Amino acid sequence: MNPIFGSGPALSLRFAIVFVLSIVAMTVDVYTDSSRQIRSTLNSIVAPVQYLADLPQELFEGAAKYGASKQKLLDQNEKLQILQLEQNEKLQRYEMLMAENARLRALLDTNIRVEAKKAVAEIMSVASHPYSHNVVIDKGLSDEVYEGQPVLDHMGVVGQVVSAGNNTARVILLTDQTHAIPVRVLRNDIKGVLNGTGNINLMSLSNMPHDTDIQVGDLLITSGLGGVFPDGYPVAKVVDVKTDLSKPFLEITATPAAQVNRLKHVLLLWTQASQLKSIEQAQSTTSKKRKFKRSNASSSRNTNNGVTEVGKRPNE
Amino acid sequence: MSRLFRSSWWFIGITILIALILSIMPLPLEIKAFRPNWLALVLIYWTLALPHKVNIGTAWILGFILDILLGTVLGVHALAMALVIFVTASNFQKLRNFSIWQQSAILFVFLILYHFVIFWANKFLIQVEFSVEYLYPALTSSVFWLWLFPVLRGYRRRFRVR
Repeated sequence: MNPIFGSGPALSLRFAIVFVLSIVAMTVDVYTDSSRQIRSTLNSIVAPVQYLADLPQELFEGAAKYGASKQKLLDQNEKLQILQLEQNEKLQRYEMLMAENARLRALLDTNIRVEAKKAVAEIMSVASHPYSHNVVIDKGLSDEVYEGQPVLDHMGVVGQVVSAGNNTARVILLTDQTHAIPVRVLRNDIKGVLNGTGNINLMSLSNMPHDTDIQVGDLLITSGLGGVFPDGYPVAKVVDVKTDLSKPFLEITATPAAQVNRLKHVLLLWTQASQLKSIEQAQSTTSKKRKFKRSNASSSRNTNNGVTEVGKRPNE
Repeated sequence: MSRLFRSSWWFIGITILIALILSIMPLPLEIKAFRPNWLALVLIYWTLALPHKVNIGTAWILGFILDILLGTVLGVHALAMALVIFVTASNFQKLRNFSIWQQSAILFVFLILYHFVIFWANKFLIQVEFSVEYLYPALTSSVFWLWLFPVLRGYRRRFRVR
C-alpha cells in the first residue's frame, strides 16, 4: 500500500509539465487582456477562504464592540457631536463656495463639477506580499464595482480597483511598486507623476527638473489627468527634497495622505464619465450613441480646461 | 460512506486549508515581513511523509491558489512551490533520515530558493527591486519547522493518515 517508489510519471517530467504550465499562466496573465475575466471568476471561487481568514479579526472586533463600556460610548458620542458641529460649520461655507464656484465656472463657460456617487466598503484582508501592496474589499461586481475605480479613505486617495469578483474586489494601493498616479502641487499647480516604491510610507515624485519650485510640506493632489482619479483629492505630502546635481532630476519623496497602513473602511467613487457609461449600457442602442458622444465631448472639454487653468494661475 | 470519510485527503486538506488561511490572515505591520511560508512548510511535510499523495502537481495547484489569494501574477507562486517540492521529493529519503535541526537548516536553503524564484519572476514580469526583507520569511519558516514538524507528525500518527 505504501510504495517506496511513487507511481505515475517521473519527477523531472512532472516538473517539466508544471514549469511549462507556469510560464503559460504568467505570460497570459501579464501580456494579454483575457486574464481579467478568468481572474474575476477565480477570485469569486476563493472568496470563502478570504472570508474565513477575515473571521477571527471580525469576531475579535465584534467582541470588543460588545464589551465597550457605557462611559466610553458616551465620551465618544460627545466627541463626535463636537466634531460634527465643527464640520457642519465648514460645510455651510463649502456650500456657499460651491455655488460661487459654479457661477464663476458658468461665466467662464467651463464644465461644472458634479458630485460623484459614493459607497463605503470594508477591508477584508490585507495581502502581505511585499511585491504587491493590495487589499481585498467586501464589495464586488454585484455592487457595480468596476476595474479602475478610484478608492479613498477619510484622509485622501488610497488606490484603485484592479480586479473585481462577484462579492469581493482587489484594490491596488498607491504605494505598490507598479502604481503611479498623476498629481499636481496644490500651492502652484506643478504637475507630475507620483510612483509607489513598495514601502508603505513612501512614494517618489519622478522626473522633476532641478529648478522645480517644490518644498517640503507641499500637498500633492490628484490632477485629474489620466482619467482614473477625479481632480482635487489629496494624495500625499512632500517630506524630502534632495538636490543632487550629479543626477538628472530632483529626488522627491512623499508620504501618502491616506492612512494606507491601517485601513478599515474605504470609500468607492463612481466618477462622472463611468456613471455615464453604466447608464449607456442600460439604455437602448439608439440613445446609446447620443450619450457616448456627450461623454466624449465633456471629456475633451475637461482636458482643455486643465490646460487653460495652468496658463492662468501664475498671472493671478 | 465511512471509507470516504476516512480518506486521508480530508486530513491533509484540513492542514492545507489552515495553512492557506494563515498565509493571508491580516497581521500587524511590524511582524508582517516575518510571516512564515505556512503553505510551503505544510506541503514539504506531507511530501516527506507521503510522497505518493502530495507531490509536484498538488504543490502547483496550491501555489496557483495562493497566487489568486495574494493577487500576485498567476503562476509565480505556483512555479516556486512546485520547484521546492520537486527538490524535496527527489531527496525525500535522505531528508527523512536527517535530524530535525538538519532538516530545518536545509529547509532554510530551499525557502531562500523559493523566494528567489518569486523575486526573479517578478523582476522579469513587473520590474520590482530587491530588498533583503524579502528573505526574512525563510528564516522564520525554518525556525517554525522545529515546532511544526513534531505537531504534524503527531497529527499524522494520531489519525493514521497514510
